Amino acid sequence: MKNTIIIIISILLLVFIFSGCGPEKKKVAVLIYDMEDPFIKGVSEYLKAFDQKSYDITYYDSQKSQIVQNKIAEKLYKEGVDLLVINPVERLSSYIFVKKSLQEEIPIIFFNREPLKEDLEYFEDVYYVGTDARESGMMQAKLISEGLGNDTENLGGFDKNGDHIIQCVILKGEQGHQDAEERTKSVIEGLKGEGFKVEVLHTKVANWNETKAYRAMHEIMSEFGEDIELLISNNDAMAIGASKYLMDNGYFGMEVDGVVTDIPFRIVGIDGLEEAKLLTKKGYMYGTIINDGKSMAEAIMQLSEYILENDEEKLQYELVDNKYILISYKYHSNE
Amino acid sequence: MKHTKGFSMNHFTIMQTIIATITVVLAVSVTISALSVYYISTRTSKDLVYDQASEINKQIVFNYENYTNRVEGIANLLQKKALDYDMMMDKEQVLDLFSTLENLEDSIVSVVLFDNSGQVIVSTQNIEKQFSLIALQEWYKTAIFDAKIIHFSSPKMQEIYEVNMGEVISVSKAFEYQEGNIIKSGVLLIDMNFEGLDSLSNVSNLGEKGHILILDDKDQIVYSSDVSQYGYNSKSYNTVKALIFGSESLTINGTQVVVNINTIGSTRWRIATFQDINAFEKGTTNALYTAASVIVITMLITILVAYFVAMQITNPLKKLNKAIVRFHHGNDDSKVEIEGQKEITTVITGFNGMIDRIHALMDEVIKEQESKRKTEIRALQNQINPHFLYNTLDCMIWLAEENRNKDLVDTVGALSTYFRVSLSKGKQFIPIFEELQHIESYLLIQRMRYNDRFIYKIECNQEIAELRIMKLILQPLVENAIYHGIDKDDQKSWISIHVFEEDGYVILKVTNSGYGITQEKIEEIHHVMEDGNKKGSIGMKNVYRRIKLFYGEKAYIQIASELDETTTVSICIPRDKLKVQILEQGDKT
Repeated sequence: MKNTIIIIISILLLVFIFSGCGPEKKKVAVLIYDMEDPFIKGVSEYLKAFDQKSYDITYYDSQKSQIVQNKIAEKLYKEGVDLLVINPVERLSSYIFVKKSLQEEIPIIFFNREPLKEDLEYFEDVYYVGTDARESGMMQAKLISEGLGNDTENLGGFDKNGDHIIQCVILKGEQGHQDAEERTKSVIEGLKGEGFKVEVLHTKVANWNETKAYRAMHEIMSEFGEDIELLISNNDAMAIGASKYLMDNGYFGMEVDGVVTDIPFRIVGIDGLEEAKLLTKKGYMYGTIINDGKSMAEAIMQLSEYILENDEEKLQYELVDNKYILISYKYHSNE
Repeated sequence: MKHTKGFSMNHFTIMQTIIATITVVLAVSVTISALSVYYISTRTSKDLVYDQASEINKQIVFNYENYTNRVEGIANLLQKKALDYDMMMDKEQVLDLFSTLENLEDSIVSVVLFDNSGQVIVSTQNIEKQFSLIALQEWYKTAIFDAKIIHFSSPKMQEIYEVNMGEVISVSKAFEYQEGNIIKSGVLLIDMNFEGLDSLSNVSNLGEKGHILILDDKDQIVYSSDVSQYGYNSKSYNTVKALIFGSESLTINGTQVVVNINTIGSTRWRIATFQDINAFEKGTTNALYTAASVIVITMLITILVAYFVAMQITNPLKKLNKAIVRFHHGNDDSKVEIEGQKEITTVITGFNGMIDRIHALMDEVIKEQESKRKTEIRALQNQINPHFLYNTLDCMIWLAEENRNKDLVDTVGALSTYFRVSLSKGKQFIPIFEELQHIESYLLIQRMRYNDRFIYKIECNQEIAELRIMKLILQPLVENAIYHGIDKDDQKSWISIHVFEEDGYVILKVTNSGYGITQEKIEEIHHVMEDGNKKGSIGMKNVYRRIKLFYGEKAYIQIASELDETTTVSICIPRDKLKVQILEQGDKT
């Protein structure tokens, strides 16, 4: 009887020893601000694709709530984690993670929403991977300019009223949101820089959201419909929403060979979502600026390895000030 | 193998075993279940309290975010509207706009627009300060430093106004405005008093000692709802400063609190809600008491029940045990009342059956013994007769030959008396005087035979003359006395028979003169009497066995002798046995 017990205990011990034999994988937690955001969802899918299973990576959805994100982070700090990858809900609130990480000595990579500079500099093991919002607006302006054949006089034939001024409507992401403000500002600046005259007929805040943009289009079209020569959207989701409203309400002509024949005005977005690319191909949208989620994910993965393994060779992206990796935008149009 | 006493259950009674077992088993199980119920309930209620505290914190954060968002919305609205005006011409309209929005929110005390050198462009309040000092204000510098965000300052005395506004929170933001068709950048300042924050700090949900503390990113206190916890040395402050964010339970001034720290959107503030959970702690203590009293009461009830159950089992067993002890000591009335559980009643029924059977067996044995004894006694009595009759008839022949008619008549009379007593209507027991009549007739006959060569004397105490005695026990002794004690030549031989009571014994003493017998001989006779197998005097042995059989071991025969003088043989029978025998005889006839 005693012998049997001893044998069973020994076997159990052996099982435990052997099962725990392999080196423990380092834990990485990825906190996403909103899994319903198509671009961010894309980034997290790319992250999963780049995951070489050398780390134990867990993804958390903050559901657009800083409180939820704080709760997740609190749990992670308590349980212990080797690296935090955070897509903040509120950029101004990010300082609490930096302070906590300094206490707990856990490195953080922030991405896509940039915390304040002072917060990033508060602790040396805090990094940021993102894009330059200003760049996206500038590139959006360039895309528009090229689409108009750089014709500042006659606007490449898109000057409906012949006043040599671009009458445009802007779909803005969020009032006061850094990226929204920056993109809105820089695209206008960019167009002016290219020599165009621009009249913003209306700026509508649609919170980066497709449905909100769809609804907003009703009011916009009834008020400014005839006068609009260009629709600038801060992101693709809102551009898609606007396109769908116009489609559903008969503003577009027939499709011939998969390409729409008549359009009310040009629509440009930012982000390079697959759906936006498809709409661009069919002619419903003029083009988009690819916010390169794939490169962003790749940079995050490489930076993670760089931080966890201290292996500089793995990092193919430029690490500015040993803190920032900025991912460049790319054009996407049907031309 | 040695038995250790401590581990053996055999030393305990059934009751002790039952009570001990039930108590231990119950104590363990009740304690475990009560404690687990307590643990689970307190844990769930603890979780509940934590969840609740977290929910309340969330609600408060929402309220504050609503407030800050409103302020931010106002700033954004101002920015948007302001670009519709040109400051060169439309200052009045802009001031109207500012005033309208100032009035919209009670907590806003002033709205001011400064240019990039700190000069006032539009203000709802009168400004006193020089422009150079404005540019040195913290809120101004941060707005310029990070133009993209709205800055919420920590509370400060705002000294730029002519009227003292007291402590205010300054909301500042880089601001674009048109002046002479040129877009310029300046700074918008919205100063707020604490009315808004106060009205939001509805701490009633946080319990009696619950309170709110708001810190900014530099850990400066923005707001505190509890004056006693206001200050950089308070435990609340230090907790929030150290914890940064998240939740924790702690004790402040003896009050159990749960702190939840979250950020407030659009600002660099974080809000800590301190939830008073003392009431809850009291609840758990009560739960503990309840659990303990449930355990104790359950235990007491169970021990009581176990005691009664054990009594039910052991009481009949105890009675049975007593009955067995009684039976062991020879008490016949040992039956036990049938009660208790089935197994026990079975045992008792079995015991009672056993007692009945034993009684039956004993009665049988006694009956058997008695009949055996009767047969034996009859046989012994009958042994006497042929022997004596032969001698007597011989004597009578001799008397007849000698023509001693009178003597012959006497002898025949004596013989007649002798046989009358002998027969006694078949009775085994006769009064002593009858036995003595019998012996006198016998002696008479023998004197005749021995030609008057001895004299005799018969004495008897009157008190005992009526006592009944086993008949024909004296004759063998007298026979021996004559046979051994009569000197054929000596005319002075005598025989004395004396019946008396002494020391609880009735003694029938037969004494004869003569040579006497030696001590060795006495012992030999005793030996012969006691051992039925040895040869010797049939008569003595006969008597000895008869009295032993009938009167028990206490009855005995004593032989004494004085050499050349006398020999005495005494039959000693316990007096009480005689009485019993009389009664018994009466019953039997």
